[in-house]
Amino acid sequence: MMLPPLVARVRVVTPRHAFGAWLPLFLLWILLLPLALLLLVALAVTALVAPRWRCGALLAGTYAALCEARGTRVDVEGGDGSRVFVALH
Amino acid sequence: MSAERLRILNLLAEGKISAAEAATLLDALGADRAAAPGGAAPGAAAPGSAGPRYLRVTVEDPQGEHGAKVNVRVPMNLIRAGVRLAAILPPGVHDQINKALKQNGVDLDVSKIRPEDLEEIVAHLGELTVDVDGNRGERVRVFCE
Repeated sequence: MMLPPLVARVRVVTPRHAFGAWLPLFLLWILLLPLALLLLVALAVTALVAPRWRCGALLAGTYAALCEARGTRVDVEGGDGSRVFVALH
Repeated sequence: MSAERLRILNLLAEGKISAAEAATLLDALGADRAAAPGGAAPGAAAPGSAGPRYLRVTVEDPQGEHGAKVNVRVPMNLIRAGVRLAAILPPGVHDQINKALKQNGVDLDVSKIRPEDLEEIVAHLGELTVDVDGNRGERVRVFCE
């Protein structure tokens, strides 16, 4: 089963401070679930009104892209010792 | 082993279909998978296979304003999903993308790009290596791993 990123690892380091966190993205998806249901209804209506927009395919494609974002890592390091690191798991 | 494959083999074992019929059914099953939207393109590395899994972009500028280093890792499957998504965008959106690309010096009509062509491009990204060295020590590398 394809799942969107469940956890994001964030680390921000400045010359003075360091901060790191594991963000539970799955909680965000659970909170957004009612909105997703509303979106589904809106998409169904749009699909009936404008079938050439291929709403179902667009939604499926967007969800697939979101799911495939797992494994993405961005690491930016400054010369002054500052660093920002984000990873999606 | 998938349920469909197992079912065909069971039918063969029970003698309900011949070996030739089983082979035809298994071939058809394989062709269906390759043609499915989520299936890999011919020549593309399947997820979990030995093919490249990530596109890496690294930028080093030791003598720049901040001496920054950038290291980005993007899953190849994300690129594939993005490509598929671009292929199903509504026609009106294509015009806007074309206009924005042209403003940035890229004269490309995205509506003429077919999904199968893009799949092939992504599949061959594994062979891509870009290595640029600047005269101030800055370095940009794009490669797959």
